[in-house]
Amino acid sequence: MKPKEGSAIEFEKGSSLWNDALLRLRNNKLAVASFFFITTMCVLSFIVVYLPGIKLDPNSQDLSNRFASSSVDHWLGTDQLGRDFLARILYGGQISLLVGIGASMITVLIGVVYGSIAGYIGGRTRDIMMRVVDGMMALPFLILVILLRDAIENNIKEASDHMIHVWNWSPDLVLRFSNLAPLILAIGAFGWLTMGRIVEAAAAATSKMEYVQAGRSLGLGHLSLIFKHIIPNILSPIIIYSTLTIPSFILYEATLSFIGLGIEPPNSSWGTLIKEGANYLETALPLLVWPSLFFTLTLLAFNFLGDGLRDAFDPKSSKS
Amino acid sequence: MISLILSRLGQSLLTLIALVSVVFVLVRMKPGNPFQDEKAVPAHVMEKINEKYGFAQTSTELYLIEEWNLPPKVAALERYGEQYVKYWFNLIFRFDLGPCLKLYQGFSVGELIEQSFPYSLILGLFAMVYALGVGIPLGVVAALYKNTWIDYGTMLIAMLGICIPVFVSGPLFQVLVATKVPFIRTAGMEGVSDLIIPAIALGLGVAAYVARLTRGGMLEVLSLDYVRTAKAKGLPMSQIVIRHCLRGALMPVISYIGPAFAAITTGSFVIESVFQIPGMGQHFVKGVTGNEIFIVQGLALFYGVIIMGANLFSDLLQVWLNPQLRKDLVK
Repeated sequence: MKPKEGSAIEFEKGSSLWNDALLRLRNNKLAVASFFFITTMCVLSFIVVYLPGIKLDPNSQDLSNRFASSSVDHWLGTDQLGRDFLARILYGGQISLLVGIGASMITVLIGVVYGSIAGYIGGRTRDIMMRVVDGMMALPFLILVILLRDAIENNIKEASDHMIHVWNWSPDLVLRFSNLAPLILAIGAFGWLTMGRIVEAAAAATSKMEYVQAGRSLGLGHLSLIFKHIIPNILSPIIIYSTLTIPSFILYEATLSFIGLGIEPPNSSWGTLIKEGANYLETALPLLVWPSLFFTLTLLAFNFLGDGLRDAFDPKSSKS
Repeated sequence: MISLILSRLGQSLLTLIALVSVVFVLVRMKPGNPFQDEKAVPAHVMEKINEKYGFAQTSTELYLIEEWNLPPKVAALERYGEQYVKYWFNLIFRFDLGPCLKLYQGFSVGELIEQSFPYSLILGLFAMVYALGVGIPLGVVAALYKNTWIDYGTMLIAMLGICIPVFVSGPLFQVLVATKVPFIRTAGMEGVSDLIIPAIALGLGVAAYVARLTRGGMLEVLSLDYVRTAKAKGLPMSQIVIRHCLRGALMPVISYIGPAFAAITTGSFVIESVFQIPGMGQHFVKGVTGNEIFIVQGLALFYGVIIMGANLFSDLLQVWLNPQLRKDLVK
């Protein structure tokens, strides 16, 4: 019997995993607040500082107005050279966030490719690949990051000189990023191990699923199985874990900058601001407190958002 | 058990070989040497120095560059290969990590470690003991009073402890605490008591993490049947916690011992420079900035051994404490 025209059976609209997760995330006030905090921080330090009419210059010195306290002109006062401190913090945040997010993206790239290949192939190849990860995990992470950053710094300087002089790129822009690149690359190069493990476990479980077997029996190639069918279905652990790595990378960046092996002048990150602030601890405490506050709140926000995402995507794992 | 220890030792050995090799390469990728900024040294002395410490191109290398037209970086592999073999030879047969070049001239890296390690060790142990001594009780209390303000308060403090980094808490402790306490110096190192404040600043983050792990472990164990049985027997809560819960609840903490050691080492780089403690962390940082290849290689190896030792220790402790893992091994 043919169904009458126009009387299609009405299904209740299904809700996808992502919609469910979004709904649960929206109910988590802490995670929502964290999300807004992070967005605000990003907008402030990446967009607002460049808007016309905003007079935030982290480099203009005013030696007659050093260590000023908060005022209408300088919301957070001025530093040891009379520079506007709010501007310095926002520009510093730009660097810190760039390092955290950039390094996290590198770890996602390496970890996902490595982990999904290992998980998909399985067997002895996977054993060997994961043994390598285990071995690398036992190495002292920060020491290798310090040494790798130091080792590639010169090559990147040469490359940026090439960009400026041969390709005629804007020196301002090139120097801004080439200064960060060694640190981002170094953190990324050794930071992907946990991501690799997580993706490997998820990919191994997913590649045993019926729909992947169905795809295989339809004659799909390995690459399309991995990139079209397995990776899209293990996105949630990847998103959760990469949110949680960003704060730890920001922390590494700040630690390295504090001991003088991270971000170098003319750039300054929250780590370098905290370091400078620590020098004037007894005379001008705000110089330490403000950057530490922004730094700590951002770290907290990323952690809360990551926890919230985990609870939203995987309600079973949430703490009772 | 013995076969487990042996296989883990074998793995660690492989990792150490990899570590030494990677560090060897990385240190030599950076151009320059500790003596490049010397101005008052005559050219022929400079040449001798470079030759002695392997910074100058050898005659074989020059031959390779000129006759075979190899790029200098490739030809340098000849010299580095020889140095690599020599480094291992000295390490294994003479326990020699090489000399300090410009920084601490006249000392060997071994002597440098011998001198500075006690400070770092005491600092690290203080921090570790403090972290466990504060973190575990806090975690237990938070779990016992789950979902009350005691729990939320403790966990909020713990979250703050995790997010306030050593380089903020260090200077703050230095000014806010150390200046107030009469018998403690804010910087420098004369007695063991000077290490207390730095150790507290250093252990703060680890303590907070331990508290969170303990709380999680306790919550899991508290819901198990045998704990209910113990409660039904009428045992007091303190007895239940100490006798029945802790062993199971502390498993996550024990597996965290290895990473905790790594975190403390990292933190000691910062804390030692804030409080001016003459430990290994300071030497490492100075070694990296000063191109002191032997100091960097030696300390990286030493740190690697310590962190791997801590990992091994925590793995064995887990097996020893957890009958299930032990059974799996026998099978």
